[in-house]
Amino acid sequence: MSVKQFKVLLCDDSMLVRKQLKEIITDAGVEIVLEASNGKEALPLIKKHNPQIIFLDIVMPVMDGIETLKEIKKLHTQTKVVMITSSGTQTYLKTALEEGAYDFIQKPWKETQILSIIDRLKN
Amino acid sequence: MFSQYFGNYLLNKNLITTKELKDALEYQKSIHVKLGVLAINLGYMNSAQIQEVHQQQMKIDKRFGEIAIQLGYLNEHQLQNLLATQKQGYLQLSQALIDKKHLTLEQLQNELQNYKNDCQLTTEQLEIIKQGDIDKIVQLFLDFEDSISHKIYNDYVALMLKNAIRLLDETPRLEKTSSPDDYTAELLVCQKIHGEYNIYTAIATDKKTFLTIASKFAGEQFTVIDEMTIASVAEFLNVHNGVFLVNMSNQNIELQMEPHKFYQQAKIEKKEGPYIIPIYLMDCKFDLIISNTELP
Repeated sequence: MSVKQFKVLLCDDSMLVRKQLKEIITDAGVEIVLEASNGKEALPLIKKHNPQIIFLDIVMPVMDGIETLKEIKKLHTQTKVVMITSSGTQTYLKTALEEGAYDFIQKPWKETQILSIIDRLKN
Repeated sequence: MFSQYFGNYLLNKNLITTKELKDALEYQKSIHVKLGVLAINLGYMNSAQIQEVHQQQMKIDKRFGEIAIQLGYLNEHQLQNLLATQKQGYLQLSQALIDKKHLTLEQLQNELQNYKNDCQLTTEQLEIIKQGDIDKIVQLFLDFEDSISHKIYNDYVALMLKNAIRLLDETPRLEKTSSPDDYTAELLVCQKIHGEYNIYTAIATDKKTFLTIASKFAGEQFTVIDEMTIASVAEFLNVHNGVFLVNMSNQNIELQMEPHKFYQQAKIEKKEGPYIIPIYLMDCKFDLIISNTELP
């Protein structure tokens, strides 16, 4: 699948983070970038669009990233969930990986980390 | 860090102007010898290795030398050599002021002595400031009465100073805490940390400083307080708190944090604490607030 056909969902309560990630991802050639500011907003978008990748924050209002990850697991989709959070503690890391997260990136991220994930999933 | 303290002292005594201080600090940057540059000059490391260490520094609260040793790029002996070479760093503001002819050598010698006397610093305390050891500077300026959280609060403030350098590219200066009876923050971003300890954290600023922090963190120029600037300052606090949580997690203290909250004209009540810690940046000041009771 080419990057152009990718659908990526950004789920983070920070408008700044979504803007910065969107710039990196669209510059990489992804045309469809969806946005949600918490898990509750993200779930219907996942069901409707079935994105290839979700960049998912952990600390968010309404529905946090770990709870969202558990809900995504129930959907049995092929979506790869990349946790992207400032709080990369042992507990969060362990829980996220146990719940099926594909990768875990600690903020502040490096552009190449984001691009390498897209690159890995392209192949 | 000595430059910020001594520079501010000279400014308050009207021995130099704000413009001259900025000028000297800017010039100082050009003559500041960083550990990475020294390591390249001495042939210990290459530029890719330096970059990697800098990238790691953004995420984990460790010094350049510690990370470089951990990655196998430096050995202990080489690090000691680098540090010894770099130790003269505190002289750079003095050198810049003289090079720029803002002060004579004689004036400088006198004012260094006056600074020590006026600030009632012991030779040992002056040495701490000269060496710029952030952890020790925090202990020198702050006195957290709450003994249970004493060490954690010290670590928290020291990390904020380091993150102001790493994430805002600023050279911060810490002053003593204040606990006024009546405190109202024009703009306030709060985030609660909970778990083994409950810590309420906040950044309080005026509009100008808020825009400065937002612009520096996001890497773009903001001119109005809006959703994006609030998101930027909140994300700065969030990333800072995240690194703090990772540090604590590495000491087997598991903490979590909650989403941020934003307030305008927020009145902070003086119950047990809070600690209001003024942190000065180049052109502005923000208050770092830590408390064991809810803010605001």
